[in-house]
Amino acid sequence: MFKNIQKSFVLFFALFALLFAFPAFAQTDDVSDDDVNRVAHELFCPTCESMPVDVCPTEVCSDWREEIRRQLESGATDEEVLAFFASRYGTGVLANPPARGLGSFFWIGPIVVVLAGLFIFGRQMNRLQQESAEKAVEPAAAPSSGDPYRDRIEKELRQ
Amino acid sequence: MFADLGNASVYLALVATLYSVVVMGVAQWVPAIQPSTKAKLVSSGRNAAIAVFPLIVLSCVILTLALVNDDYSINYVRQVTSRATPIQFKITALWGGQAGSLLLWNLFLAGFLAAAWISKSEERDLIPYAVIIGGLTQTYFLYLSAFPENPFAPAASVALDGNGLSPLLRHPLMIIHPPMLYLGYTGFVVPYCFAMAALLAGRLDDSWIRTTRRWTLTAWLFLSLGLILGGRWAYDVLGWGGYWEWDPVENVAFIPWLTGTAFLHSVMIQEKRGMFKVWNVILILTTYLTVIYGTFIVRTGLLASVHAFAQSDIQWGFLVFVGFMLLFSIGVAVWRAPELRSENYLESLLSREAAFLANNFIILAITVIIFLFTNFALVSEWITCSALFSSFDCQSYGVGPDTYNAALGPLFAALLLLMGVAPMTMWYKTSIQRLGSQSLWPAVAATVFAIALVIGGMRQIGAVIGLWVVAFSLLLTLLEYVKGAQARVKSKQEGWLTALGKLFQRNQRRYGGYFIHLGVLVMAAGIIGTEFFQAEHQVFLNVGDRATLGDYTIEYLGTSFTQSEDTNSAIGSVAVYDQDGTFLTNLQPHTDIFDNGQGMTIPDARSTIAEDFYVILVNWENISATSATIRMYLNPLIQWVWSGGVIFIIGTLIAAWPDEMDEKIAAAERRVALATVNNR
Repeated sequence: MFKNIQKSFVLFFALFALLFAFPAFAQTDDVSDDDVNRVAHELFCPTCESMPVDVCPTEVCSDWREEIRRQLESGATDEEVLAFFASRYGTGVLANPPARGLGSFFWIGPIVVVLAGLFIFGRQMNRLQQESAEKAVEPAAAPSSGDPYRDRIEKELRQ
Repeated sequence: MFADLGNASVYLALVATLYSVVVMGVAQWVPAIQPSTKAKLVSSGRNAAIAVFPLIVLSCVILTLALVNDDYSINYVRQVTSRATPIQFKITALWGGQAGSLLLWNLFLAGFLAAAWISKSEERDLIPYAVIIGGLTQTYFLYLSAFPENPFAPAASVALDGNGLSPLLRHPLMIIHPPMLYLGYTGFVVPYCFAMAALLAGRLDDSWIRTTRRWTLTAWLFLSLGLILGGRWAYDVLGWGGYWEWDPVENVAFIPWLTGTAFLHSVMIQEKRGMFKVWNVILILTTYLTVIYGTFIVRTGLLASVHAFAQSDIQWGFLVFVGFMLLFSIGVAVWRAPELRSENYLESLLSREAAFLANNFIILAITVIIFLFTNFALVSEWITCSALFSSFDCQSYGVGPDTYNAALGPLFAALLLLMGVAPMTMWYKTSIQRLGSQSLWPAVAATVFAIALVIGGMRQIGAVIGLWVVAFSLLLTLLEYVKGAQARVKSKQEGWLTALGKLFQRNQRRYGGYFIHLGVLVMAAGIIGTEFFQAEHQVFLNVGDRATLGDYTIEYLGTSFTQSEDTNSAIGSVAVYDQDGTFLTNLQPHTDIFDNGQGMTIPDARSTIAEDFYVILVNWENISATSATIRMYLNPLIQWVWSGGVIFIIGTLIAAWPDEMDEKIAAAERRVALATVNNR
């Protein structure tokens, strides 16, 4: 009986340890500079004009890189780290904003521009061709090259 | 006293410009003026407009002397130099700050305008209007140099030394990059002046295009040079392994280049077919307005942040000026639009005309997207920070290179494809069979090449498509030369080399143009290489430690520290080995910290035609004599970007080189065209 309790305690502790082992498992010390840079490259630093955080030498950006490293070390994925910065400093810090809210502009905008361009281009082509068709009908009766001699030859040839 | 003289010449230049505008206006629009008086007024106004240039030259010389002589009673001199600044940088400090840059802008604008007014005697009736338009632009910029951004303004207090030039500007490329850009910017004002003059004068033939063709090409050449040098500077100095980041300041220089490119293509339709007259006017107006807008953005720091904008002195005046020129240009264009109808009509969708039009639409789509993306940071900041939209967080949405590349990549690919196909099309009409038979073998060859790439392990579909397009268009462009030379070899019994040389000589514009295309295609290959296949690796190393990226292994040899006049440098040293362990070279990336606290990361690279192995010393991590953080980049095909740039510039020089024959033919064509019109 006592032994059983002992056994269940061991089991319990083993399970408990396993429970803790999971985050410990995920917790990794081998977050490389490359991992940090990969995430930092997706962020704009408020103190560096339009420069991603991975190449910005200011102190704020150093802090950001440290924060990225800390979070990666504690097992966060790239997306989770980016989401953290976005929720804390606003979506504007993301170098490539997701297609949500104002960020969707960067995905919808180009498509609208291209479609509008195609529409205008198509209409323009149509118009120009129609006009040329109308024009082609008129002079067909009396085509003129601007040269009376040639006109006469052509006229005679047609007859 | 020295400064007063400089000041006086800026004021005089402003007065002379205003005088020329007023006198020309009176001569053109006051009805009661005698013809003889009018001629006198016009000649006086023209002389005044030309005199602006030497006046600004004088003020530039005086400012340069003040910079060289450490005259710290002048505020500008104090801002951009110090006693320790080497003499060559004291001279280039002329464009090292806001006020000096604007003065240089004025110098170039006045130079271009004076040259145009002197040389264009055959456009006598357009000159008065053109002088008015050019004068309005010059007036605004001279006003900036005379008042809010006066480079001769006295310093507020006595100082023995200055702040020194920004370290980023102490680089040979940075010395020539801004002047090239300004030359490109100001050069585009000349075609704008003649276009507006033609509209105002009601001279709605194509002569303004012929008059300004070489000016446009010259401006475009300088702008291209400015952009390429800027990219090279970023690559050599900024130490982020790239050359183009879609930074707002880069974008606003690229936008007028794009509209200028569209213009250079579509003018050919107007010259050959008398079509798209309104369109060409719109393109040159847009180019001018985006030039002014670009200057405005860079000079006011607007896009960096709305808040930086509020601190700048020249903001609202600039907005008023841009707004005025915009409304004025559009107004005049709309007024004359009905009279600018095409002389001819489109015969077929498969024609040179249609190909040019498609080119224009793709370029315009690219331009609009870049414009929207660049300005969205501003608009979003304004929207989210205004009280109306309190549900948003106050922030600005900038956007990084990946998003730009995703949005623009397909459009650039379409443009490159067109670049190969369009030269095969004929004016009026081209048969699909002709296009098909001519492009069959290049298409097969390009496809074999693409399949080889995939077999070789390339898996990025975008890169494979991109390289297919580049190979296809490259072959087609080369074929244009072969066909041209072949025709000469057959008909004139010339040798191949002679025939090729004669080809350039006989039709500079056309074959110079194709040479530009070759340059663009080579650059495109380089851009695809770096955008898709750049690799990087950052690692902390102690002396003797090794690290590997791609086929390269480096060994860290240590860092030495040196001190010069106003700079502390840390010079890292790494040995580079190939995969077999054979020693290749030593690289010495370094980092400079200047007295004013600014720093600079200078990379070192081993360049081959296939790739650059590019190393920087990461200066925001600790650097000691025995340890440092090294960042390595592998930039495939990057040398192709620079070689393509050289080919591009050579092509532009060929196309723009003065050619008497061409001019005579153009004049003859013009006479014939006029005679035909009159006979109708």
